[in-house]
Amino acid sequence: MSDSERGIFAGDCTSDLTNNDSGDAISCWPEQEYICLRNTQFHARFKAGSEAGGDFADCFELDENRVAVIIGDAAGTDIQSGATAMMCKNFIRWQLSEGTSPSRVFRKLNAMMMNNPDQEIYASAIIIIINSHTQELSISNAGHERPLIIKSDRVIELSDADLMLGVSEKAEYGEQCIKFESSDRLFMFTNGLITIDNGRGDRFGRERLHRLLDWNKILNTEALLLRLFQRISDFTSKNSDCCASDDMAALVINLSREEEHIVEEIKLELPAVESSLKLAREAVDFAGERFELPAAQTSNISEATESIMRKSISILRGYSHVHYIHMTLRCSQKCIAVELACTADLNRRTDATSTQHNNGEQRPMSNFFDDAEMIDSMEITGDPKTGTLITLKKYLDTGDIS
Amino acid sequence: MNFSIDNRDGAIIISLESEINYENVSDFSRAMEHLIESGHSRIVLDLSRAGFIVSQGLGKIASLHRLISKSGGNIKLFGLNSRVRKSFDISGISGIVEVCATEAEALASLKKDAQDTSCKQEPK
Repeated sequence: MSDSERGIFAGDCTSDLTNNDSGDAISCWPEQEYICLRNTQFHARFKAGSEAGGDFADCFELDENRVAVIIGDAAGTDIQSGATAMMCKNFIRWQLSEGTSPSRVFRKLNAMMMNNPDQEIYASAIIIIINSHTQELSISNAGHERPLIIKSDRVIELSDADLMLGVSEKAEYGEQCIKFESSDRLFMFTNGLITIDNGRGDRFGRERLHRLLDWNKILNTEALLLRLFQRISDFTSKNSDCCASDDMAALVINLSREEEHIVEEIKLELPAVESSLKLAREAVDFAGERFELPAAQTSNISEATESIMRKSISILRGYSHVHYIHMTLRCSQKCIAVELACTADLNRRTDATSTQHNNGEQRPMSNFFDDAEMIDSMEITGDPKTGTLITLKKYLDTGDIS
Repeated sequence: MNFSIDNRDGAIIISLESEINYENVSDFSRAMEHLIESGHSRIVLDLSRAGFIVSQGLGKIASLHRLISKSGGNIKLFGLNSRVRKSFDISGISGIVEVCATEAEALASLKKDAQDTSCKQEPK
């Protein structure tokens, strides 16, 4: 992780909460975070902007059935916005803990911000109370980017939002109550995620975000967030001068009362040849039958897997030392997530920068990363017996994004 | 931040030449406050070349609206692209600062506001 990726949420990064399942609240987030409260799972991913930002988030228990989630963004990128973010987060937590309703919390916070004689401060925020017993969400939105619900078959935007904080003393705040299904996931984010530009006048945008979530909704939450930030990185990486000035934060909440867990993991090591395609499809079909998934869902995954593998094999032909495709199927009653990886023996290269193509053509090894575009992760491990192995991972993509 | 100013129908039309981002939002704010302090109370903001506005800029426009309202004036916006329009909608600011489709509509709305204000001020 680079220094620029080490974020400080709301200027508060004092404790390590990784793998925290004790019920403590998230008071800060490093680059990624996971927490489980009352069987509600929270996955967060954060990337700091080039300047101090004002993103903030929090989640904590209210009682045995209810959990509060907050996400917000204090306007600006300077120290003042960091201080505003801290103030908003602490005030909201204090008021909710005292039993104040979300809409009333926002009214009080807005009045407080409007009465600041020294300087104008603005912020947007959302408070969501999740009641796992009644399976209801109570949402109050003070001008923040609208949350999305990732359902098994579509992504929908929650439409209601009131005025951002610090803008008008007459602002009124309401609450929207909706029922959720156990398979739903709630996606919340700050606007740095969609306003980041690629240096050529194009911004990532809400439409691209919605499409990405829709096409990748089959992925488990961790992989979905990884994919999202990788896509944003791909979007900006073509311009080396491009650097996000604003923070980016995304929070996915699994609303299931049961933990999202992998029921079974199937690992296959397949030679990087065409005949492996049939085996890969059979493995997906087998998993679909075993977990009684709808035939159409299994078929979609199977076709996508074959398509990606075919493309990968075509690319791998240019690299004589990439031998195997490793396929991992993570199966549950809800879905199958496919992860593809390939392994290359770098020590067997003819020189430091190039590798021998099957037909004699030399291709620089660095081209592999361009050829096998959208790789999700890379791991290099040393092995004294077999040489250095490089593992490139790619999660199943159910579509492509333009 | 570059912008042009045009006087029309007793109002000033300010056409921004670029987006409002983190680098220039303070310049935008200072320039607008200077115009208001100079006595301009009927302002039309042409945002057709502002392809993006940071949230601080949205808040600033709302504050300027509040400031100018105290002197009986108003600010109208036009030329918003769909993304900027959505930002105004999500932040709720399009509920307090009127967004018009065209410059003519913005000027007409300002004129109507002025007439309504003068009617209210006429002694019965």
